[in-house]
Amino acid sequence: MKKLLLNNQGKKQVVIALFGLLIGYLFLALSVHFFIKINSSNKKSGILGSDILLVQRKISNFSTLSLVNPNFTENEINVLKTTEGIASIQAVTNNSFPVSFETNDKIVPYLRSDIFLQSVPKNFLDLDKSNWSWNKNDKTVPIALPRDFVLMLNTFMVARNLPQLSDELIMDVKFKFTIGQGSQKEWFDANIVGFTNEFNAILIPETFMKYCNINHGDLTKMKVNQLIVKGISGEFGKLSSALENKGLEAKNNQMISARLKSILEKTLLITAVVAILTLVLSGLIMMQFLQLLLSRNTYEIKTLYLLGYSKKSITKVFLKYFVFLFGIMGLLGLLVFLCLIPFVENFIISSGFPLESSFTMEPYFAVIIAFSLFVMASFLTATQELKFLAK
Amino acid sequence: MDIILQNLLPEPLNDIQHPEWSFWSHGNANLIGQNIYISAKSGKGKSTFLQMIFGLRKDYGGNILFDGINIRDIPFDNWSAIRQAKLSMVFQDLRLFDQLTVWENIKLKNEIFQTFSEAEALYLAEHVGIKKQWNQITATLSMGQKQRVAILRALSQPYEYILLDEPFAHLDKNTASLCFEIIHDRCSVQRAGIILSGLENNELPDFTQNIII
Repeated sequence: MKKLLLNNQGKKQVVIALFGLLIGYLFLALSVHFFIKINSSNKKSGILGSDILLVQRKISNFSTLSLVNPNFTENEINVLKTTEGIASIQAVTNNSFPVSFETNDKIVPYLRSDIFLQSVPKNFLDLDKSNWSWNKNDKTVPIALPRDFVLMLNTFMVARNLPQLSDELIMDVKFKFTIGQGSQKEWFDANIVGFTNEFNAILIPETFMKYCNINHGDLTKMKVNQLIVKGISGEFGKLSSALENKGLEAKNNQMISARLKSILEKTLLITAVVAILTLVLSGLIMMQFLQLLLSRNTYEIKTLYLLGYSKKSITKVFLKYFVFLFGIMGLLGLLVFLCLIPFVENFIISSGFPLESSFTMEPYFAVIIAFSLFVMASFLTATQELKFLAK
Repeated sequence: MDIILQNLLPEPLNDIQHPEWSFWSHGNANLIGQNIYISAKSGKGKSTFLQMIFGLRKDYGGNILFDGINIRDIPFDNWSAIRQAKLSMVFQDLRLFDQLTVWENIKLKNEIFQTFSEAEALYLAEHVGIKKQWNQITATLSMGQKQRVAILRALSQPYEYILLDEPFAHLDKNTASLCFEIIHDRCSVQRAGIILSGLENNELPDFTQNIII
């Protein structure tokens, strides 16, 4: 029956349809693979930054002359929350208490400075949050140093003819906070748990900020002049316009990295859409090929019915053939994918993106899902067409 | 299988005045395992008669009952089981697959129930004179040879009735009787009936009923 039904086909059309199918499978596997790997590599390395921006009012001559209020009211924050392109927004809390920060370790020269502290909700932090908590009686406070501070510290070390400090060494250096003034002073050890690229001030947990502001600060002087904004992933354009319209600005490098991330996400999304469209198109060509094959075999199918063959047994012949074609093309697509992966990954890595070389299962699942959908579509097409041909 | 025909009349013959001796004037018959010869001149509805029983045509008035079941009520999917084990047919246009060899054409039917081994099928082919053409593409055969292939194919299944639509039209008398011999033998083994259509002069033996249409 196979010889009878499958010999009557246009070879040229099969080759075109199969080539389309191969390209579709390959595109799908590649786009799923890189979508997952680029996102996970970015999460770990943070090379493209996050969707988080630290924003403030645009600084102009008027703000310098105090003609523009740099602070945000609660009402303004609520309006911003509903603005298009903004996923979430939080006020950055500043210290309203006097605080100085000093080194308390022999490996670094003594350094003391009055500083500025900030705290933000935990979910906005771009560092390991496992040790990020402070309770009332703790004498040690976890802190995050801005990268610029580390740079400044090392510049200071060089100026004193001392060796520069690595991240690991800095995390071992003992620092101390002096909070408040006069007889109310309190001292806390600072434990550096990470470094932040997003913030310019030393970050402390919200609970510690609250404690110090209540016990050593002037709550009436607490103002919100910076906001932390999380944009909707891949929609940086909307966030950028929203900030522009509201007269807000963010650090330039944050803007660039957020823009890049958004562009990359969109590019990956477009690649995935193109892959799916290619696959759908090749699937449609295959379905058309199946219909053509069935109509070319009208006489054979009708005669087989007359000889006593059931619709099921005839469908089985076509379905087996198409399962074979879809399967072999899927395997071939995955094989080409496996061969191409090292080259494409090297190409991306050579551009400076730290891509992880780990195995991803998702492209295989995507190809299996596409294969299953094709088989289902073939079954439905064959059943419908045979029903029609038999009458 | 009992086949009962009740007031059977094909729609295209509705407007024609049929003589009293014609089956179409009443359309009633009980076919219970008998050998029936349908005789008529060309164009009188012999093929239509067989096609209606085989479930190919539904444009008729009256009823055809298989063991009491009106065949109009038999779902499309159930016909394959009937054509596999209860009814077999040699079509007037033969409906062979020209691109296949003689054996492949027969095998296509034979493999459903493995009725014959290849050797048995070859023996029958030898009997009707087409052994030499066994592996030949059917398209290259003469009409008479094709007719014999169609007969052998129809025999390669179990059945209760075999419908033969002018199966010997292209055969000489001698070959026709050789073919009828194996048809008759197979039907005797299976206790099956024959419904055979042909022109008016029936010289074949063992037909219990003649239906003139």
